[in-house]
Amino acid sequence: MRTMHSRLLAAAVGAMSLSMLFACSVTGYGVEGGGAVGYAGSYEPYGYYEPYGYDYGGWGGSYWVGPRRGGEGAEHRDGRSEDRGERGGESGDRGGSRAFDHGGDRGHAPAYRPAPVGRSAPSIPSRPRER
Amino acid sequence: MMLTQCPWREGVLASFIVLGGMAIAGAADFELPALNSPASSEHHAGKMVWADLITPDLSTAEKFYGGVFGWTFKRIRAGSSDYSLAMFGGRPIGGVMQRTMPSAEPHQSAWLTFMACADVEATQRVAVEHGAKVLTDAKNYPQRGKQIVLSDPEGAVFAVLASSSGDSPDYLPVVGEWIWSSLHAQNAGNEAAFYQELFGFDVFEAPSADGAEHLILSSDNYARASANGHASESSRKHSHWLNFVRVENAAQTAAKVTAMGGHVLVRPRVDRHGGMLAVMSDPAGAPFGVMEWSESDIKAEPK
Repeated sequence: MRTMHSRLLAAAVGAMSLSMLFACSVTGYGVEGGGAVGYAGSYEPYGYYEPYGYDYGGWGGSYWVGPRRGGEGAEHRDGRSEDRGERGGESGDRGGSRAFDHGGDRGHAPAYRPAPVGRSAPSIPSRPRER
Repeated sequence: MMLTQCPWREGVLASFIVLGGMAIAGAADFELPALNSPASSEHHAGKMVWADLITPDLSTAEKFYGGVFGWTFKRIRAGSSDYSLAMFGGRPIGGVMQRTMPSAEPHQSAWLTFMACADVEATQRVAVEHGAKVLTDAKNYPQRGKQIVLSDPEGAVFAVLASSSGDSPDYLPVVGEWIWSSLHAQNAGNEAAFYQELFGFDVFEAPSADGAEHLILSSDNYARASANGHASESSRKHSHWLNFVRVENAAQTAAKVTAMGGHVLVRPRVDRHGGMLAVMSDPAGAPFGVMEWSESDIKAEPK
């Protein structure tokens, strides 16, 4: 009887020890070292939830935010021929995306370094995913 | 006293075996999957490679995005939070994290955009030098890579990720996958300059007649994102990233979104590439975009 009691006690002590060890060893999402907050909790102090605001009004007919077609993607550095089918035959600037002229038509130099004058904006990749 | 003589030994051994197994299994639950399996040797700075949704109701989000885009979900223990991997075509494409909504002031759920970088510490250093704030310290996830959450000079929140398995090759996303990201800012030019410092983007002006500044950000000769001045009549003036999922038909997707408890914020409209684009929100209010992209779109490209 005493032996059985000792075994149960040992099992309980072992379980507690391993639980503590486990709690301190998990990394990544969760608790590290028993104290520091990991990925999940670390958003909260900064209130990642954005300020409330549904309104996307004012997207008039010319408020375009997407990519364009055409451009230099067809001349991609690795020379993938499949890209040429979609973009190579275009005149290049259907949507009017061009490198901003230094000091250009806004009357002041932009904060960014414009792509070289004469280059047109590339499009997104056109190569289908390999199965 | 030697262990072999101890009457406790069987109990101790049994508990170590059982709980050791539990510890190993539990630890495995915390691991994020690699972005690419098999690993890719490619690196594409500035490419949007992941998104995490922060939402107050994980189950509702899973049902919504599963119904609208056909995504499936796999739950992962995430410490005090519940986290669910969004899968599409057998690949992980994002995550959904349940967090309690702050009650002090009105907030809304949002998607967090992850952009690829080669070196998180170097990106962090450049970002801070140019006005960014660090929201979470750099953190490493063995299979996933190292990542950090930042806010740009105007406060738009984004994350950068140096993937352990490289970056996805540049393919045309299939319907149901992320296809585009747009930044909406007070000063698109200044914001473009900031991201150019981080990722070495080429920046192209994309003029339009609406009075707002529109810029295309590219790397590796592919368009990665756009930076846009806020639309004139929008009251949503805080800067933010908006991610788009490729869809077959934006109007049909809008109907589905509405039927499933979401909202249409910008009705389907023709965008620069000639296809339809729309902005919607999920039942918790997280905005996202949808975009058509097909060979036939080009016929309807706006003048």
